[in-house]
Amino acid sequence: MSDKEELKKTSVGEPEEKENKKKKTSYISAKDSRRITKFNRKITKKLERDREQAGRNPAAYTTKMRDPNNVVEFDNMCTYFFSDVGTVKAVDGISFDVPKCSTVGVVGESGCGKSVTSLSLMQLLQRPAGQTVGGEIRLNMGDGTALNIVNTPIDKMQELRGNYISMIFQEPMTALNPVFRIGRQVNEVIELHNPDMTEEEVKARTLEMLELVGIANKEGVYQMYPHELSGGMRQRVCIAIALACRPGLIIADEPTTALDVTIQAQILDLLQNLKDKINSSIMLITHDLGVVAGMADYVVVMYAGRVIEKGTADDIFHHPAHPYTIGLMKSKPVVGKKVDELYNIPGSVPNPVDMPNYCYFRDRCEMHCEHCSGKYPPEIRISDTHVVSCYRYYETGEILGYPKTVDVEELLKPKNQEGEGMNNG
Amino acid sequence: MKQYLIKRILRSLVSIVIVVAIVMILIYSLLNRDMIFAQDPMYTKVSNNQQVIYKYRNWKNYGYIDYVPYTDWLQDLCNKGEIDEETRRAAASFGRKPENDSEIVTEYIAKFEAYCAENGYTVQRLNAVTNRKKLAPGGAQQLFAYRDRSLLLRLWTYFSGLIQVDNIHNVEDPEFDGERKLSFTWKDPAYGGEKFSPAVMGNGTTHKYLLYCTNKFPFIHQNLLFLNLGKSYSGNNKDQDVYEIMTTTQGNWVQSVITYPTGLVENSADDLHTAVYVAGSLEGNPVLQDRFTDNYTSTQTVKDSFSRIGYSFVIAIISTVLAYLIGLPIGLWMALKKDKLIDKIGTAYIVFITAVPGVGYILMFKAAGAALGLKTTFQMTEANSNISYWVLPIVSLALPWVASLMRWLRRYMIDQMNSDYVKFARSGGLSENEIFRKHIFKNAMIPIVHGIPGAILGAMAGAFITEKVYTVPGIGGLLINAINQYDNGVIVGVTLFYATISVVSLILGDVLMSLVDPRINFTAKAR
Repeated sequence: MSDKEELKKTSVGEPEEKENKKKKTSYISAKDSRRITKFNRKITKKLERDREQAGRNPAAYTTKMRDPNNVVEFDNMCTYFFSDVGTVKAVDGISFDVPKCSTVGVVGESGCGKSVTSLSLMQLLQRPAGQTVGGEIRLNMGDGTALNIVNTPIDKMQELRGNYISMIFQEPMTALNPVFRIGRQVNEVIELHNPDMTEEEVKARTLEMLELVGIANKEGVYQMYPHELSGGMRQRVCIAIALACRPGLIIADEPTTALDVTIQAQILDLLQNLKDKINSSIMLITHDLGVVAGMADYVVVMYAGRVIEKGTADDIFHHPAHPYTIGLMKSKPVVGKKVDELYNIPGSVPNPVDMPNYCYFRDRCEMHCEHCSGKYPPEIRISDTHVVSCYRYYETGEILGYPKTVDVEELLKPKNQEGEGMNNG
Repeated sequence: MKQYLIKRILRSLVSIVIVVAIVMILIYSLLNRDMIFAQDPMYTKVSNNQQVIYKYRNWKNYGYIDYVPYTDWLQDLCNKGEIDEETRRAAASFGRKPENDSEIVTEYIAKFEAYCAENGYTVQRLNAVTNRKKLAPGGAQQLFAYRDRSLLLRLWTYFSGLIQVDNIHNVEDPEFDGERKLSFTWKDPAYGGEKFSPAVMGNGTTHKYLLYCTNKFPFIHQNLLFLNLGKSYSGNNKDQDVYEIMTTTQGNWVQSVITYPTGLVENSADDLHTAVYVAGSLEGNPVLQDRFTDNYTSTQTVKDSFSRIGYSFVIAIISTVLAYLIGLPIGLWMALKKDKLIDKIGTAYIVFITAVPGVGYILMFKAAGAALGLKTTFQMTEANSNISYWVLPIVSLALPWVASLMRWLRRYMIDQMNSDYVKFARSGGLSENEIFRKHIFKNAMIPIVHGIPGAILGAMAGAFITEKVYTVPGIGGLLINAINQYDNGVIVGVTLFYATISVVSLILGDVLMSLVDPRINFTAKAR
């Protein structure tokens, strides 16, 4: 046995070191595993207790918007998952705004934290494992006040969901309850947020919504079950439900991924039109750059749980600044241009449990410099609307600040410190 | 839907027939035939050739074989007029050994053998068993022929005779002299002919009363259609009808004032409504002559306790209802409080029930119940007034059932909790409670609903172990007893009964499921 092992070591040589390194991250000893579980239990318990306390006090979750023209402001929001392999920093200090009556596209590859961002905004994270541990999400209530979603208690949240913020999911095939009629499912949400409405009014509203989303046979669809509709029709129904209470913000989490291209176009068109009709904003989460280009006013590019670049659609698509964005744009196939092989960004995303302390993109970056081995880059404003996190603009741009991360070990320590943190945020 | 159901029912019938056919192959062809006499007291009383004849006669009665004794064949020929009485008598007296046969006997035996060879019979001649030139007891010489009945024929006779409709030509008594007819009366003579109680009576039918009313559920009763599941071969219920064994009341007689057809008023347990024609029973029987005016003399008696099916059904149906009433809310609660204390306690209970064998926990319940002062041995008559006898069997049946309901509902609920529509409902602002009660519960109940008809109908099948442990006189022990006693008629009858129950409950379960789940549609073609 030992002979063989030795032979392996000698013969493999360099790759062996790599293997060892891999082992470090994917393999956890029983002792470590116990420690992690214990820590997770402790911290989630504490966070849940804190949240409960904050939820009891309305002062703890009412704030003011930085800019009253925004519907939602993310301010250094951190959402971590306390998993069995360690703390996964799914979203780590992101900041961006969703202005009124606009479409914000959030793009990034799978696992970069797009969906977690939206789920944090709805407080739909799988608790207690998933927790928003720091920062603020400010939701404009329209009357000059704002709510900090992070600390809002669940019963208040239920009033907001569907009424102020609503969500459209990726899979229209499974998003509707298969055993209830369409009419009932739309009615349910309207009734919930408008308890004064009579039954006829609710039905009238439902039919109006169904018509609004372009369902011709509204009376028929009202009586149908989800399985009797096609995917596109179901997505229309989902949109009708999401828009039934005229929310200020619609989160569309990859609304067209499961649909074919013609239906995609119809659904996106519909969303855009409805958004203008009811004066709301859309937060469009997708990894389809084409969709973003066609729909979004503003674009946020995320990478490994952080916003690396944000700006208007024009900024991102025509003047990409971050090497990652540049790479993305390069990797798009261009109609009429013949290439042997499409461009791809080398390497892969770092392990979310064990993030490096330098720029997350450095190891894949073709343009990295000696700065890049230092601290994670700050947000740098390079034009009025365009913000990027890359050291290449360190000298030229206006530095806005470093993303604030949360040290989970610190959270467990003294209580006053956390109080401070909350005041700051 | 209709078309589907008809197809489904037809298929179910075929499967029932197949099940019965398999059981018939098992017990008629593969099992040693002599075993059915193992516990027959009559069998040991006869000896020598008589015993052999006894066996063949019973096999004929129970449908194993066709059996023709030589003398019967001769009698047949005589009846047909092919031979006269004198020849018959001469031909019938065959010798103790073939060497002793007279000429005419040899001639007719040859004819008999030819007839048998033509029809596939096997002829068997048993020489007389003698003891010092004297016939030994039961040792008379015998000559007969037999042939095996084929499975298909057996199946056909069984199923064609399964449902019998009483009609006025049913009585095959050559001495039946009355007018064969049906009559309707507003005033039932069984009640003395004065009370208003409509009844349909028959003459020439098997049952005297075809339709009648009583004050017992379901108030209007019928004898027009009855099931013929076969007859018991051995054991306590020898020669009794299987259907009767399952459904007749048990316990002590309940006497009431009865007005017999002759006008005799007496305290008796007889139930005149069950009167069945027995040929020649009245003749020479002064006891019956005092009471009855015709040959409809065989009545069942009224007893104070339930029938076998009744006991099994009552116990099982109460425990099933209890199980659903307890199991579903607890399962729901466990799903709602997943990984909390209640879920862990519930899981521990489920593991206990799953891990410990059935007899194990039932005996544990029995011991625990005895400690609490509950009755552990079922007494029919006392159980009618004392609820304490019923508690343990019902609880023992319900508790494991509760565990399985808890387990499955919890599982289905948790399955559904992660589905997209739940997320979507949450994003619409519904509270967890509402989502649970309205959205998840209905979805999780779809597979549970499928089992409900099975649970209710299965109640009739009885519970083997529970009934054995608490000595409940239910149907559960019937099949096991029958197998132990080689009571093949009961085995076939009970198998048919069980097969029917399970097939019907599956169909009902599917129909019920289609009512709950709109996606299941029997009319739509497969996509």
